[in-house]
Order: sequence, then C-alpha cells, then structure tokens
Amino acid sequence: MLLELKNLKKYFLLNKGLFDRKKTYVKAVDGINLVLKAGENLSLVGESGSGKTTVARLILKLYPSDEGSIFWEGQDVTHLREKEFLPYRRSVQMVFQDPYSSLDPRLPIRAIMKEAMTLDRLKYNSVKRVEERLEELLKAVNLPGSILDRYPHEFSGGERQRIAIARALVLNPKLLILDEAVSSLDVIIQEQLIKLLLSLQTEFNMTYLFISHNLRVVRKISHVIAVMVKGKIVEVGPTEKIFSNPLHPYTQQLLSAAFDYKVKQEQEIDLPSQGYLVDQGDGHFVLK
Amino acid sequence: MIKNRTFGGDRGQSQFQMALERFKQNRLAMICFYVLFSLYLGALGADFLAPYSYGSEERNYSYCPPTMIQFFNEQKNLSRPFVYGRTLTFDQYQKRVYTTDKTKKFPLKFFVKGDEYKFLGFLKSSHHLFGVEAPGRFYLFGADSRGRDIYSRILHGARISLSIGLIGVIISFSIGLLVGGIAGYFGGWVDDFLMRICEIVMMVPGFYLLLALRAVVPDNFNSLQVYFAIIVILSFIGWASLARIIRGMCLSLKTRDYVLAARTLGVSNIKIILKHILPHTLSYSIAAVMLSIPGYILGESALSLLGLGIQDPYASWGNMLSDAMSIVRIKFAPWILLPGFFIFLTVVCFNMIGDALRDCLDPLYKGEEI
Amino acid sequence: MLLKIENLTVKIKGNENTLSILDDVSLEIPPQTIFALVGGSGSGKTTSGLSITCLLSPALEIVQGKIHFQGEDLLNYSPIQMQRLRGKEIGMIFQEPLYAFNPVYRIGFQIEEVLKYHTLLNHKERQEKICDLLRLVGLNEPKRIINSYSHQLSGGMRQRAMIAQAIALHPQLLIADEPTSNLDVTLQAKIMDLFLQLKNQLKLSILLISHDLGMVSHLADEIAVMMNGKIVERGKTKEILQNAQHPYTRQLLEALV
Repeated sequence: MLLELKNLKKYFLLNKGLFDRKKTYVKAVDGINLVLKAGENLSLVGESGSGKTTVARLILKLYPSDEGSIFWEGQDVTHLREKEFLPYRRSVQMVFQDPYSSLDPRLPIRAIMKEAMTLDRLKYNSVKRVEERLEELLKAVNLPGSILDRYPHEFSGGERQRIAIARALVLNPKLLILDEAVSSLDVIIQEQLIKLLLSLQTEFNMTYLFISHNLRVVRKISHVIAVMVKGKIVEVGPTEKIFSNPLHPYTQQLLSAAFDYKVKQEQEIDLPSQGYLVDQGDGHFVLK
Repeated sequence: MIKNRTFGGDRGQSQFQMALERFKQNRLAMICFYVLFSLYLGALGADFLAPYSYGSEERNYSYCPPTMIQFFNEQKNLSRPFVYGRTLTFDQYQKRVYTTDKTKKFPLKFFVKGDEYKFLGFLKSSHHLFGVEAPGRFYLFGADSRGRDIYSRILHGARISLSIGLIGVIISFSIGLLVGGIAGYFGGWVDDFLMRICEIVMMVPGFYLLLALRAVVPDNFNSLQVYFAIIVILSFIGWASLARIIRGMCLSLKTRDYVLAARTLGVSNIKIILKHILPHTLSYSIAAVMLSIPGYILGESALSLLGLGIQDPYASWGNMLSDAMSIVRIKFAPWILLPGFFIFLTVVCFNMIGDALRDCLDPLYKGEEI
Repeated sequence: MLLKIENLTVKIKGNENTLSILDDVSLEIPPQTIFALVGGSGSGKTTSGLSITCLLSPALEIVQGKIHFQGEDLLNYSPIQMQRLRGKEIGMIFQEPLYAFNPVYRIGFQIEEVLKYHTLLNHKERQEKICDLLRLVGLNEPKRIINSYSHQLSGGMRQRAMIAQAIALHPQLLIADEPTSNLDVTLQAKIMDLFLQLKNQLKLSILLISHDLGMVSHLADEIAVMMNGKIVERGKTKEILQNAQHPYTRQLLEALV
C-alpha cells in the first residue's frame, strides 16, 4: 500500500458571503477514497473540472485539504507541516501538463535539474557527482548530456516533457504523478513518451498516478482506472474490466464518446451527495 | 533525434542576452549610454580631470566669463594654446567688466601641477589633466560668485548628483522587490499588511515628505552624513510604488507551473521568491528603475537648491543652481546655468535608456506566455 | 471542385537553402466533403490552412503554386478581395477558443460585426440570424449567449460560438484548425456531430486539420497525411484505414490501437 486517500475533500470559496449571501463553494474534491498499491499504475480519468488535478495537488500538499486524510505508506501525513513533510517529498514527484511553463524559461537545463537535488544536497556535494547524476538521468530519457547548457525555449514540447521527467527522477521517487503530461503533444510523440515511461518504470522501480482525459492513452499505461466526475469517484476497477464492462452511466458515456465518438443527448448525471463505492467483485467498485 | 538538429551557437542564449543584443541595436539608446558612461567616468576622475578643486576661490575673478583659448599669437602665427590674463574694473554702473590683459600670457599645459587631492581617497597627487599655472586662471565654463571654476565644480558636483541617483535607486529597488515579492507570494494577511504600509507611504505627497524627513535630520550632521541621510530619505519615498506593482506581478507568477514544481522539490520559499519569481519581474523592474533615477537626481537638486541638501563649499548641481536664482545674475553671467544643462542631459539620457530597455525587454515578457 | 491546391511551396523569406515549410503540396476538396489534413507538429498542416486565406506570417512567402477556389486563383487576389472572401466564402476556426473572441465585447456584438460588414440586414434581422445560428450549433439559449462575454462561457460553448461566427455568412468552405484538441472527449464527440450536421444541412465542405487520425477517421470523407511539409499519402478514409501504404501513416494508425 503506497498511498491511501480517505474521504478527501477540498472546497474553493466562490464568494465570501457578505450581506446575508451564503458562502458558496466549488466542491472540487468531494469525498475521494482511493488506494494505490506499489507497482500498480492508477489512472484518474475525468473531464476538465472533475477535480482530478486538484487531487494531485492535494497529494503533493501544494494546498491543504479541508477534510479527510492522506496516508503515505501507512503514515498519516494529512496534518504535517511543511518542514515535517519535506522527507516525504522525495517519494512523490510530478510531471506537469504544460511543457512550456513547467521549466523556468530563465534558467539553463542544468540549473533546472540541479534544483531537484535540493533535498539531497548532502548526497550531491561534489561537482563530479552532480554531473554524473545529471548525465545518467538524461541518458535514461534519451537526451544527450550536451543539452545541459541550453535553455528550455530551444526544445520542442516532447523534449521538454522528457526533461521534466528527468527532473522528477532525480530524487528517485516511489510515486510519479503525471498530470495530463502527454495531452498537449501530438499522437506520435505521445506514443514515444508512453513507451519511455513504461521502460522507466522497471528501471527506477516506480508507480505511476496517471491523470488524463484521454482514454486511449490511459489504457496503455494503467492497471487500475478511477473515473471522476464533479469531485467524486464514480467507478474504480482494473483497466480491462472498466473498458469491457463499464457499469456507471457516466463511464459508459465517456467510453462511447472516446472510442465511438458517439454521445447521447445531454444526459445529466446525478450524483448522490453521500455515495459509497460498492464492490462488484474483482476489485471493481461503483458509486451508489 | 536531437543529433540531427543544429542549435544556434555553442552555448544557448539566455533571454537576457537576447534582450541585450536588441538593446545594442538601438542607436539612440547606445549614444545615451555612452554619454552617461562618460559623465560617470568624469565624476569618478573629477580630481584629475578638473583643473581646480571645488573649493578653490579667487575673489578677483568673481563671475568671470569663460576664458577663450588662443591659438594664434599677436603675429597671427600658430602657437601653443594659451590664455590671456584678465583685469577687473567696474564701470559707471558698478557692473563688473573684465578686460583682457594681453601682456600676461599663460600657456595651457597638460599634467599641470595644481591643487592637491587624494585620488580614490588614498593616492596623493597634485597633477591635473590640463590647466594653467598660477597666477593665471583658466575658466572653461566661467566662474561663480567666488571665482570658483564652474567646470571643475560641475565635475565634482557630478559625483554627488549622479551617485545619489544610483545608490538611492539601488536601495529602493531592493526594498521594493523584497516587499512586493513577499507580499505577492505569501498573500493573506502578510500581503494586506505590507500593502497598507505601501499605501500610507504613497499617500503623502513626495516633495512634502522629502522636506519633512529632511527636517528630522539633526543639525549637527556633517556634510557626509547629510549626504547619506538624503539618500535614505529619497529611497524611502521611492520603494512603495515599485513594491505594489511587483506584488501584482508576483500574485500571478506564483501560480506558474515551474513555481509549483520547485515547491514539490522542497525548495524553500525565500529561494523560490529570489530565484523563480523576482527574476521574472525584472523585465518591468529594470525599465522602471531606469526611469526613476532622474527623479532622485531632481529630488537632490531640489533639496540643494533650497539649501537643505548639500551645503557649500561642496558642489552639487543643485546647489550650484541656487546661485542662479536671480534673474539679474543670469543676465550678466549666463554660464551659471550650465549645471542645469547637465541635469537636463542626465535626465534625458536615463529616460531614453529606460524607454529602450522597456522595449527590448518587452517581447521577452510576451515570449514567456507562449 | 471547390478548392484545388496545386504544387504549393512555401519557404521562409530570404532563405533559399532551408527546407520548405510546404513542399509541393497538392490537394482537392470537392463540395460538401469533409477533408482531413493530418500530421504531427511541424508537418505544415496549419500553414496549409493559413495559406489558403492568405494569413501567412510575413516571414514566409509562397514560392510557387496555385490555389483555386471555385475556379478563381486566390494568389492573384488583392488584399481587399481576400478580406471579402474571408468569412463570406471561407470561414476559419482555430484551436484556442479563449482567444477567438475579444474578451471586452459581448459575443453577440462580435458575431453581429461580421454580419454588419458583409450583409445589408438591419439590426433586428441580424439579431434573428444570430439566434438561428446559435441554435444551429447546438446552443439552446441564444439570448443568454448573445449577452455573455467570452469568459462567461464554458470551453465547449465558446467553441460552438466560434463555429457560429465562422458560418454566419454561410461560407462554402470551413477551415477548422485543431478544433477539438483542447476539449474533453464528450465535447469532442459533440463538436464532431455538429460538423457532420453542418456538412449535411448547410452543404458546406470542411477542411479539418488535426493530429488525431482517430478522431478524423470517424468524420472525414477524404484524408491527406502530411510529414515535413509534404503530403505523403492521400485518399478516401476507408482506403487509408484499411490499406495504408506510407510508413508514417502506419505509425499514426498504430498509435490508435
């Protein structure tokens, strides 16, 4: 058990509720329960606004959650302050969606990657060790060491994502979150990156949390799929089970739109405010 | 895949370097840069470059007009440059009249021995770049009421007027960036608190604040202390508007992905502000700073003009102009306005450079949005 | 033939020896057809779309070739003729709907601008037409949309409003450059439905530019695959899907599996 989320909630304030108006919130994440096992890639699937990016940022503690708990390898890290959480940062890293804004355009690649060594400063205390590690990581993502002196704007989107992946690998994380990491690239580059990620998984012994709205890509990289709508998980299960036998109407709608490009007319999916994921057997859960 | 691509040059060009290239192509800005560079060099080497020290008086030559350099001697032959002596007489209206005394010739010499000084504070010397030997007086730009050489005083005054602008702006720039960066990055009550302080400072009209703060400075301060006090006062007024704008920029910059990435890597907040956020405000800040230096120079000039800044015998362009506050004197000795021309020149040059910087750093700014 | 591009070559101005952005591109789009131009980034597909309506960056120039639209050679058109053509005969929609509308003006105002410039309808008639158009693209509350600003609409609605603006004058050809790349799958499916509907109801042709062969194959009648500025394969959709010849096309098809 690598990561467990219990009833995680995050609400964003819409207006402050002055003069008798009630405070309104956007329920970005509304009671998420999720379990990630080491070696089992989980994909979080949903449309924009479903809350999947917010879940990723909550896991990384980029902002505090409002309710619920996060367990990392059995330890409750929900209420740890930043200083106490620092050691855990080594274990979970993220690759962001936009390759154009995830690398600081004013810094050369070397500086960008060296920054990733901040938490392991003591280990990389000589120039030689730093250079060795950087070359090793760049080689792992099929990039030559000569790029270290270049600036991000000199590279294409696919190359920048590879640099972002290399940066995320510096600390040897156990969990790598990929937040729509291939969505803005074209199909062939997407293929290449997925292949690279799969090979890196065995080499670096990682688990992936893959966030996407692209079901085709998700199928190639995940063992477990969780479908999210409006802040709730409506269905979770092994990949092939979800694709062959989607049970929740939303999942069915999603699959039909993604593969057959067919969409039924404007069906409003009703979500119960207090739902439970009911086991349908073989690890396949549906929200009821 | 990358092996087939050729990159431009051996080393990647940072965006700063690209902006610098663009700046160099702006002819007007480069001219202004060289002008300012010469002015600052002149200020630095004032002791050597000026024929006289700032306090060297000669009351017999009060308001003496600029000395003409003669290249031809009486026989109309080319000779070594020299100047004639002057005698002072008063006409029927008690007005000063200077007549050239052709009997006294003083050759113009280089590396002439003159007043003693300490170059850079420790190298004793008494050689000056050019001048005439005593008892001749060489007034390139004329003399003031006490017979002091205006050209020399302009060079010495440059030290004060130009440095106050530079040091003052460095201080307020640093304060403004830090305050704006912290307020914008942390948000919440820190932001509210810091911005309210900014607003209070900005509320008071600048010049009145300047005078008020100057009044607080103790009377027994010597000139050097007054000099630093003025710098501090000027910086205190200037930081607030920069801080507000930087804060606005930081509010949006902190949501950028590379900032989030740095947070997930465990980089400390101060490091993030200094390394990732503030450098991205430089495209605005540098131009804003350049454009505000004239304000400092004018602020010091205004204080000195009113007698509240640098005092006699020290020279600053501002206090030299206080001599020029009488229309009668300007009519008969127009050369006392020359410090004003130098203030004008400096201000214009800084404005041109600031404008050019804003232009060439701007496409950079847009470039980041891609 | 509605649109016929012959041997179009586009290069960077002043640089004879560099590779061409477009290299000898030829294609034909018959009326009432959805024609797809597929390729990766840098393949030249967007440039092809832009060169038809003379919207190329000033750093590029057309070195050779002809672009025939309804029999007329567009490369001979003056800027004013081109301006009249755009919108009236050829409509364009782009990838990022956020920037398609000016955020300072309401949607209705901007669509009305198109009608004001090109038609002689009066205000009331224009408003009615806009309502019709918005309903046609599947926006069922036209009055609300007309009075909204661009940022008040969701991504899908904005994209549809942009399509409404592009077809306002009933053009014969609609050039759609990556119209669904930024949208979710369900929205993508809906927009694809809309394109089919437009083709059948308004009898227009669509030049669909995309990198997603999967999406395109469900919609297009004909497909042309581009790589490095050249068209490497071209044909009817069924043919390409069943019998792809060029290795690049095969690579794209494999990515679909």
